[in-house]
Amino acid sequence: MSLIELHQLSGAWAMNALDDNENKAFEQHLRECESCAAEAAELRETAARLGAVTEHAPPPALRARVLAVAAQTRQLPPATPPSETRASAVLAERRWLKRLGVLAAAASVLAAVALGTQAVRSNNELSREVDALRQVTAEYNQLAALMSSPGATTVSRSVEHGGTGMAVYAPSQNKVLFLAGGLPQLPADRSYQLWVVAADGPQSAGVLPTGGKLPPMVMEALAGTEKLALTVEPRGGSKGPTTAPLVVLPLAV
Amino acid sequence: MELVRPRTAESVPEQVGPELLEQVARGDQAAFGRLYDLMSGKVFGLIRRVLRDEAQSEEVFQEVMLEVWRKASRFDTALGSPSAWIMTIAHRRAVDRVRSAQAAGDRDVQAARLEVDTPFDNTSEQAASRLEQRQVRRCLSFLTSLQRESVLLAYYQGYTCPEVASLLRIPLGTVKTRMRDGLIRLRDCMGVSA
Repeated sequence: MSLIELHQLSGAWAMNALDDNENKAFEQHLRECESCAAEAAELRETAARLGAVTEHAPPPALRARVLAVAAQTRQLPPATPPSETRASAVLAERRWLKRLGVLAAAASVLAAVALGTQAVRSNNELSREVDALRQVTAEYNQLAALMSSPGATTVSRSVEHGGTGMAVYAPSQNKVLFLAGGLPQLPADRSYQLWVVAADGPQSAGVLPTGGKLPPMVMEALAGTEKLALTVEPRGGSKGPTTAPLVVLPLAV
Repeated sequence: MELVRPRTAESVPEQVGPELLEQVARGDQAAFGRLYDLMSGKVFGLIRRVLRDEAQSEEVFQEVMLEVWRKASRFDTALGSPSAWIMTIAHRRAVDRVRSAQAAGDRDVQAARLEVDTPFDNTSEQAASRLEQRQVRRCLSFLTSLQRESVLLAYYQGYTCPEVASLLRIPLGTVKTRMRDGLIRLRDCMGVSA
């Protein structure tokens, strides 16, 4: 779901009109977007006003019953800040993956701009998206700074055999960000390896972690860097590429 | 135990303050009794409005009040006022019940749509605060008809976005934006702040 779509859910959320998945996605988003949380709270308050105009006294007998049951019902303890348990670490990781999705969505906006398809979105939508991007990436300043740095360009290509690779090249910071999604799982004895290719040949940028979605990789754009390439190598990587690249991402200079 | 009774109905309507909820969170049963007296009419009114069925409404009402008791310690002022928190629990439970009843296939969609235009005309519902009701009605009149219908169907009928979309024959995305625009307009009209 794109950020714009997420933003639009506040009204439906305040009225419990979302399905469970959307509800979760939106509440996750609220934790990361302060202005959205403020709007959502106000809309919930507004919805509650709609609810409060249809007063009707319950049967009087219920009062004693409810109070009697309450007297025998244990209350929940207050929520305390979670300790850094394994579960919360997993949660943090999942949050991180979700943010990746958000970043990817934002990056695709940048890509759309770069490709001159800006007309399909109004300036208004675009600036909203950029605002949201700023908020969501508060703790990922480095990535945000890269993507919004002057002259940053984005390129996205499908990867042979499946998936997408994307690069953001930030010449003003001399950095390249690489993101990939949907790559097919490799046999256990193989790894994806990323290469920074300059005029004097490829240099390893590292092996991609296996399993699930991949975190973004940020690397220095060495002098003369022309492109990124992804290959399949024996597990753990090679010194130089030994197979034909599955995708090549040219970095516009 | 003799529970403290609230002020009589003639007095200015009292609001549930965060302090009262804090007392409830500490297990103060008298405080819970006061909260009950302040909120039970609104909570039951909303549930009954959504569910229509008296017996089911009574059941859900008791569940809601117990949830308020159990979860009082989890109330967070950052999320809004105590009464909005309570009404949200009530609404959530009511629509959950509607949806499980819907799974049994007993909802009358056409009837629901007819009722949208007259959400407050049911004379059996006492309006303790006529003023509040007038304000809501006035503010609703400033909405476009799509905004109003989307808001009313979702809130009072417990319809999901896809249900509202199919009923109003508009795209799903449009429904979501109308709900948001509509509530934002209501918020501004009512001067709500969280």
